[in-house]
Amino acid sequence: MTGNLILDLVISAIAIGVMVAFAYFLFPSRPEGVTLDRARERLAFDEPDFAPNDWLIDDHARAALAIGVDDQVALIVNVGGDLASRRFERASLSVSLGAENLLDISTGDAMGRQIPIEADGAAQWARTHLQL
Amino acid sequence: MTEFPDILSLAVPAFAVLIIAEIIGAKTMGRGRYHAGDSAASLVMGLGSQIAPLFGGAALVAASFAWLHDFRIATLPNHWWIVVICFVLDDFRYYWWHRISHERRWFWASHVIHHSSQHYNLSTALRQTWTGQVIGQLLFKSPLVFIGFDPAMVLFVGAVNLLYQFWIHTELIDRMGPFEWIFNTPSHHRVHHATNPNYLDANYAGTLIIWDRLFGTFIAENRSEKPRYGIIKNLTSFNPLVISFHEWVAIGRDVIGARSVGEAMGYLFGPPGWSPDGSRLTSAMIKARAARLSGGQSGTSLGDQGSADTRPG
Repeated sequence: MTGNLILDLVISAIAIGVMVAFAYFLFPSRPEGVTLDRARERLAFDEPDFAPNDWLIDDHARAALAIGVDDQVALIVNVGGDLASRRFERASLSVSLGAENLLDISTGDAMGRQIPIEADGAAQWARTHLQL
Repeated sequence: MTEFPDILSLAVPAFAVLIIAEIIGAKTMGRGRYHAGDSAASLVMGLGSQIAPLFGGAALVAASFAWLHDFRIATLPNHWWIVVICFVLDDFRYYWWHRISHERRWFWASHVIHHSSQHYNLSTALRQTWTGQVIGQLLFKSPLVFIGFDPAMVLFVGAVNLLYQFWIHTELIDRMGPFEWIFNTPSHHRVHHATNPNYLDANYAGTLIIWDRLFGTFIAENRSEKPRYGIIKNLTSFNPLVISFHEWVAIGRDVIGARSVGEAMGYLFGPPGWSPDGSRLTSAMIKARAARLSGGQSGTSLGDQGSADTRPG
């Protein structure tokens, strides 16, 4: 733009800041996160042949786990108000028990992060359905 | 070589103004939506895509074009009508480049960045790859230089094509009548970005939609089926490094774990979603699953992985 790379970067960073602030002002983040209805809807679209039998929903609406038939597990994750899903064989799901009510779940993605699910009875749910 | 304007750099202020206008339009008209984190990721990716070529890609392109131009079979003058011909041929080139970018994982690893947003707005248009110039794009552009078009002209018409594609990334514009018969439009490109099984593998055009109509990849937007944007496994992060490199890291992991050269080649150059045991889904398998669940007919079975599958979208 100006021919000076540093100046261009500074101008671009400011412009990006203005646009993002404007988007944030007019479209505040959706607060609902992962609810049972939204998780069901996302899963039905992404994995239409997955039949969830039981759900575990994070108290902070960050994620949900569903146990299905044939030892299948689905993970639903909140991504800025939108949802993403992953499907696993139960045996290949990587879950660690952080505390009595906290599960840490790996998405299995390259460069992926651990997804926390905190809910009453989470550990018991995992023992029952995931055979931890 | 003749001087052609750097229209993408010149257009940057207009991009910013139009994005602000679209945010206001989306809010007031209730069509389309923005998310600050998603837009920030897209815009940073766009900025990075302008910086990345400075690390060698731009020099590689310039040197390769200059070298190839010495072996050109003709010398085409810089008349305006030569520029138009060059543009049409480059658009044809873009169609095939874009199509293979969906059909082969090596190229998809670079292109997935552009599709990784679950939103469809003008900021998504700027969510561009950082690795495009090092994966073989040069090979697709080289024939135009070899034919005899001025290398600067080839780069210029490519930039015009990208510039054209900016405005079609919007939900604010509905159908556009007869314009849609020939040109790529927001409606056509919404289908391209959609992950709905009925919309997969479609509308690869840059500027002229005629290539999709000609080669059987055109799908019209259906008012009863709203596009859902993103990729089959939507990302769980807005981190630009994750967006940019996640598929490359995944490929590396798969290749390292491959049990044979054939498997490694499959992971590298097979369709996105390919796996030796069929445990992952290619887009052909996703379409077959959707057809099976809806009771419809499908030409491919879940075990059919030999076809040219694409990942959305």
